[in-house]
Amino acid sequence: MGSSGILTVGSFNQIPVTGTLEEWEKSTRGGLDSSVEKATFFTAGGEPVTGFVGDEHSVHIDPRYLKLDGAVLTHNHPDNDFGGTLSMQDLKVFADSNLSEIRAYSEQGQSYSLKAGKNADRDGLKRWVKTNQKLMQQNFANSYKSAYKQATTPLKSGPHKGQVKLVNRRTGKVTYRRPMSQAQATRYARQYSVGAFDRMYKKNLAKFDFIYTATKAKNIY
Amino acid sequence: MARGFEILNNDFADTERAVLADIHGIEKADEIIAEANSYNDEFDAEVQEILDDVLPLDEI
Repeated sequence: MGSSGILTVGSFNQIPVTGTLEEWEKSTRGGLDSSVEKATFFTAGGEPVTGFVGDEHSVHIDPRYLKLDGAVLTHNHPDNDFGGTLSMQDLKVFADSNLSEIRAYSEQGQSYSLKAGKNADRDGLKRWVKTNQKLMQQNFANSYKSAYKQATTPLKSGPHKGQVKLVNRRTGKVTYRRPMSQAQATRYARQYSVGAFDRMYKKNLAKFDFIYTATKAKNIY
Repeated sequence: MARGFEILNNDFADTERAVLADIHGIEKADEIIAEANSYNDEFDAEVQEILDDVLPLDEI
């Protein structure tokens, strides 16, 4: 083990884990390693098991730990990247496991969780992911693009000429305002499109007795 | 060597980059993303104000 505490075993970079899941998620927020992804396992009783560290985009985990009955796997979304929510790949890993929960959290205070209910249908979840992976990604891209364009493209005529028209698809609320900067529009599009993803997860995953929750402290993506 | 599962968190980041590159070209897209990810207090406060107004968390 090197001075960084990372133990390299085969293709895995393993790290020691201490404390509770809550403490772990809090301690790594804003910590020294916040620019890379870390995946950490806790037992059903809340005891830390082990962790793995990857790069800014992904982390390799030893699949043997996915067979721990009722364990929880959490991972961070690095602070220099747009993490979104749990990815379809995360769901696929979860469907193939014996874990009770998979979580993702970000430096900005969001956390996303998928829990298996008593009658969780993991094969059903696996099929849903396989069938919808491309569609979900396409929907996300469309939703993102639509929100970004709404936020940056001013109206060419009418009483609100020069302003942008923003429509909240859920509530139907229309807001007119001056066009956003491209970076502001990026953050708007993130919130808009991840929100659409959240709703799809909530609606569809419940059918297989999985409970999806998204907790957001601020409007920051 | 053991086979590892890979948890990817960059589906969203990759898609965002592709969408913005489609609109602006890749160089400009990277510039916009870097600015959006800067998370400085002033920019965050501005974005927070806009989103609270036009897309509050309880309405998404």
